[in-house]
Amino acid sequence: MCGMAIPSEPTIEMTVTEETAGNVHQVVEGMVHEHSRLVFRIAYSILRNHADAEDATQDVFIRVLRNKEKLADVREQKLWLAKIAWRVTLDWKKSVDRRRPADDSELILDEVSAPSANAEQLVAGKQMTAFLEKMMATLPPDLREPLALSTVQELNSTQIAEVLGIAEGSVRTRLMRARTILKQKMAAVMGESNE
Amino acid sequence: MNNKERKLDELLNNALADYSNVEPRAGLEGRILANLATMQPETGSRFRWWPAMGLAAAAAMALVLFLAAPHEIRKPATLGVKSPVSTSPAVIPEVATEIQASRPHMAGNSSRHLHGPVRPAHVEYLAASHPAQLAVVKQDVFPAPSPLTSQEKMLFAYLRRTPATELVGQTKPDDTPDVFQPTQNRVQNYRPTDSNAAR
Repeated sequence: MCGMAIPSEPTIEMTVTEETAGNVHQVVEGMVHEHSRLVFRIAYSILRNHADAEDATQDVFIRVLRNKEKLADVREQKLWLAKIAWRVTLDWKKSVDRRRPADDSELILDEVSAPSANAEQLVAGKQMTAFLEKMMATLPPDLREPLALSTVQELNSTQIAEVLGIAEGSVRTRLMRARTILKQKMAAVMGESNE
Repeated sequence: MNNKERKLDELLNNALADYSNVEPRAGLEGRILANLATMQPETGSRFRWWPAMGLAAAAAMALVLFLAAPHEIRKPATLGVKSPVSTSPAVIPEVATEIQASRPHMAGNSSRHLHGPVRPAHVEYLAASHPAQLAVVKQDVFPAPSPLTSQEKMLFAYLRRTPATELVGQTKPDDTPDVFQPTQNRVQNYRPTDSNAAR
């Protein structure tokens, strides 16, 4: 499954030196231009909502500005931002779940495996994505989180391991397990719908 | 891997590829930057009002101290200095009369200066009816007069042996020098007068 985490194109990382630390706002502005899409996608991979993901993205850069004194020590802005985005997104997920309680996974599977949905319809675009969302929601967090991050194209498995704070081998193992579970569930649903 | 499993893999790969392949709404960067721009003045304004608040606090503190201070401290210093005429234990009556006569334009004010400050009506009444009590009251307010100093004694001795006319002459102001006359000429034309000689 490691193929899902497509390594991003090598980008020129802006090193925050002492000269640029004087003008923090310009540095943060550069980070917004360069990495706001990455931050948004990390947030969206968990929150699954445009508005919530945008709010979380704004929150990430606000936190960056508040911790501007740490900018001088940052070596790899992209990874640093991804870690912040991940933590902020998890906080947002908790608050969103408090406001909107999560659906029962059994009910989700019942809804997905309804007789009206056949395989051809599931393959088509948004329906397949909605189906995958609901299937992923049934995964345990330690499998769901690496899988969600692996769908962010800008992150490779090494960077996912950095963000999650686990070994890269663990990331690969968890991705394999998550894919196996998902395939089993898909097979079950498609088998029922084809019957 | 059979055909069904290969198809499942393909399905899952396609679904995962599209899972987070979303673009933010147009203008996200602008909204983030605008939000950050509004944050910058907020962080600055936290300290911007401190000097003004410090000045205001200092002014308020000064006002409170001024209002809380005793009334005597707030009086100007010049009011606390006693006039030598009023504190002198005695003024020779005839000298005072002659001085007053020589300054007719100051007749209205001179009596006040020569006899000390004007006393209030209740003090005048007390002085007339109960002079002993007034002395006690005055002693409470003002300490008993101290004995004359050597300078005051010399002044009294000088007044006793100097004629009254001479004293009157000395109270007249000296001729005002011509401001246009050079100082050197005034020094050369200097002639000692009687009063200067007496000094």
